[in-house]
Amino acid sequence: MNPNQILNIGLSMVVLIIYVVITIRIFKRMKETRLKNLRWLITFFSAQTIIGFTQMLYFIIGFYVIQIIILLSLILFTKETFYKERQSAFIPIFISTIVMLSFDFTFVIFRLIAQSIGDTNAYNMYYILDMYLLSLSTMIASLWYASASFSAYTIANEQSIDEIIALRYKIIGISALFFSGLGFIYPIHATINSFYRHPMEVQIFTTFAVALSLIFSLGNYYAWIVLGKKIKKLRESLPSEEELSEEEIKKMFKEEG
Amino acid sequence: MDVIQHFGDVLSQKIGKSPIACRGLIRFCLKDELGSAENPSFDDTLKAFTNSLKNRLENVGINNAGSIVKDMINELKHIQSVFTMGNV
Repeated sequence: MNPNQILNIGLSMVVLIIYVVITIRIFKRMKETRLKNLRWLITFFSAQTIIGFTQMLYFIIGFYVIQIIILLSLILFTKETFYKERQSAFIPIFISTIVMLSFDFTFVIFRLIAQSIGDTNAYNMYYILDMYLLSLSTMIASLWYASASFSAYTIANEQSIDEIIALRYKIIGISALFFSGLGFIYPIHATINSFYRHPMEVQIFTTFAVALSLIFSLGNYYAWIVLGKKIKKLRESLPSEEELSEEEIKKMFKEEG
Repeated sequence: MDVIQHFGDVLSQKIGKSPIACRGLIRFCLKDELGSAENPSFDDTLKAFTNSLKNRLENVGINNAGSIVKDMINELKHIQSVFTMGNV
């Protein structure tokens, strides 16, 4: 292994550790707050952690199944967090993702067949088609998540929601944009890796993909862990208000005309 | 974010009454539906606004209660993600 490969593996391990920390923290908060939508975020980060290992092992079906889990959990988290009982692009996004992943499944099967008969060219072609569809699905899911976060950020600013909470929306939105960037990198990486095999280019794109994952994980660490602590302090510092009785409320409404 | 404080202030702006009285009203709506106003979820608050807020507003002599409730529900749906982002 050359130094660049060692660096990429080291950084990938850092990303996986960050995902584990975020998953534990969100799981703890889900139990404390009864926020059921968090189960999708936990699934998303757990699957990201698992895929880190399966990707390294080149386990084709495992990689595919976990990608499905990642994408669907991200879509469902966005729906349940931002668009519950509200009009949104959920149905078209969900259906188009299912359709793309179904097509992708056929490419995965063809890849396995090509691999078993030793047809490298066919294998590479199906690998690239597989990557293109996965990338497109990744971009759609993550851009929807980013757009929901930015739109909530605007609303939070308009409605004077605390700036720490508004900042969390902004960081999550920016991180999601970096995640969608992986969608651009994967097919290019797959094409170079399969057909051209220029070690330099392959390494550049691998480093680029690892860097995007690292930025995404650090952004999420900041949003969910660092800002989470600040938000907890903020909640605890809110002054408790004296509770009025029903009679007192009625009296106040009357007096105020 | 404190749900009672936020929606009490929103209601206060809509009906021109004091924030403290409006917060009290929101608190009672939540208690009507859930028995408690402690840390309500989005679903809990939506249920409280849908089922109890109109009666509560009419009981204190507010006209147009139906339309105010509709606005409050829209507002709630727009900032629903704060229930997650402000609590994790």
